[in-house]
Amino acid sequence: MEPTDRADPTSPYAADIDRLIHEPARLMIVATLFVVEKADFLFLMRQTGLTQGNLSSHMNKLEAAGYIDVEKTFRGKRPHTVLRMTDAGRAAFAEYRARMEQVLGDLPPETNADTKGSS
Amino acid sequence: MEDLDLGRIERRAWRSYHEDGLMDVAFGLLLVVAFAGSVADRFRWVAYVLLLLVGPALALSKRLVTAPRMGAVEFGPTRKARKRSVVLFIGALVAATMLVPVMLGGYDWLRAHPVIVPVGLGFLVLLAFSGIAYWLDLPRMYVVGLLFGGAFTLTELLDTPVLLLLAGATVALSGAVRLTRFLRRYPKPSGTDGAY
Repeated sequence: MEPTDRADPTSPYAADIDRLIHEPARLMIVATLFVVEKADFLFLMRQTGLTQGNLSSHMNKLEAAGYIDVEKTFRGKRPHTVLRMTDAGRAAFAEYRARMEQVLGDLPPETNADTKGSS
Repeated sequence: MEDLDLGRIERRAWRSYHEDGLMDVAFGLLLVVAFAGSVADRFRWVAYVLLLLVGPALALSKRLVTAPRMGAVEFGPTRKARKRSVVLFIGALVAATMLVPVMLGGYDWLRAHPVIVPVGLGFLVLLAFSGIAYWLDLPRMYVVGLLFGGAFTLTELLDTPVLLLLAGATVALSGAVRLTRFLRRYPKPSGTDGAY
């Protein structure tokens, strides 16, 4: 595993995995937004089980990376936040999935059994 | 990677948006009103009016009950296409239900077939709900279709509308239980402490 290999865009190594998406809470947010056209803040809270503060923080990070669009409006006097995945976000997530499948697919199938057997 | 089954994530989001029981309550009450219409003529027009209003009423109650608790979501083009398929399928069924008897001989033909007609009617009702269950991915609608189809058939064969009441009340009550669970599970957020 040469360090230079990690710069190769086709490299299957875990270092190439998009860490912004890889974080579990953000992964759930991105995966949910990937399968719908758009969703509001409350819907994402319900689907991911995240708290308001947590979701807000992850939302800001994904927005800063250009992965999602956040539209803030008002419904009467109440704020309403709608999230939608950008094309860049969809491309990044598709690439993340491909890499993860590659990395996990490269693992030998009997790793767990071997570990249990040797302990 | 098990959690990255996107089909499962999408299905869970879709089903959670439809676990409010509102559809069951609406269909159940519709059948109860159909029962009322069959025992008292003055209620018959109410059943027709409700049949026309059930779609808009469901959309409104989704907006007033479900969205403030579950949030709002717009599903992808596949779900939208499936919704259109249901509307087209039910439209075609209604048209067939009206046209086929006319083509076969009208009222006289209907009266001459006291068994085939009720069985056919029940089958059409089952077919309509099976379409809803299949395209809207709501398996419990198969059971509702069986109950309603059976109720329509037996009501005509046994000449007693009480089965309409039983089937309607069963579905409406199960919907009410589902709705109560939904309201408890997803309370309305206060909205005073952040941007929803």
